[in-house]
Amino acid sequence: MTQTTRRSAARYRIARGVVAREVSTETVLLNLESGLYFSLNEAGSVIWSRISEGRPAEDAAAALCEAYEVTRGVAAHDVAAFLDELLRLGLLETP
Amino acid sequence: MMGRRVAATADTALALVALARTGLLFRLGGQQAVARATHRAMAVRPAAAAELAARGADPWRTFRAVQRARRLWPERVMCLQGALALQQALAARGVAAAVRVGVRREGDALLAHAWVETGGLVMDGSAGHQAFTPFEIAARAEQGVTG
Repeated sequence: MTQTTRRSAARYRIARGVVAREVSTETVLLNLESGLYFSLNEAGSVIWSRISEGRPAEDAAAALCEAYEVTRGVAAHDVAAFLDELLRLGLLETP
Repeated sequence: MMGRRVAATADTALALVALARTGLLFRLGGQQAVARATHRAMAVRPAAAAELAARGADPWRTFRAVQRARRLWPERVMCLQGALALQQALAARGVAAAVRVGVRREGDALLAHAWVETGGLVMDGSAGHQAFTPFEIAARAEQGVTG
């Protein structure tokens, strides 16, 4: 199994103390451990909705392909980068 | 009449203590301590309306006292501090209440607001909570009443 395959199959969970709410077309994340809150745009919200349901990164990439005219490769890359950022910010955890 | 005045003064004193405690939290505790206190406050399961009625509890009396205390307070009390103080004052009266935090978009700004709910009542020190979408977190029954 390649690293890319492993990453695309990876599942994440919402970090402890993080709550999310859809507000119009965006998703607002509130980190109750740090007091910081974040806003995800529409594309970020598409990814978040899949990941927060416990679905793998590849599902989020597929949803991104459906919602926007991007290739699977671009979507997978964007999802991976986005998830890395959410992990870095402590909004997601790996099980 | 005199008894009512004494009770109101006691309520105001209680509310001032709650404001002082939350004021210390905001001033000295740092952002993380405030966030964690908020998290705990949001996780409280509010009392049911029937429970308050059965006990003859009057959360609005405590709300009015906190509003009086806010007017007496030498600094502007932000909504979150006011909500946490109200929750503590209610807890001191044996009333479990949850702090709600909501957000709304206004142009480029993302605005947040906090208020308190108990017994199906919304207690908002500065009004306007309807415009905010509240975050929802699972209430923890064992959390009980803080403060």
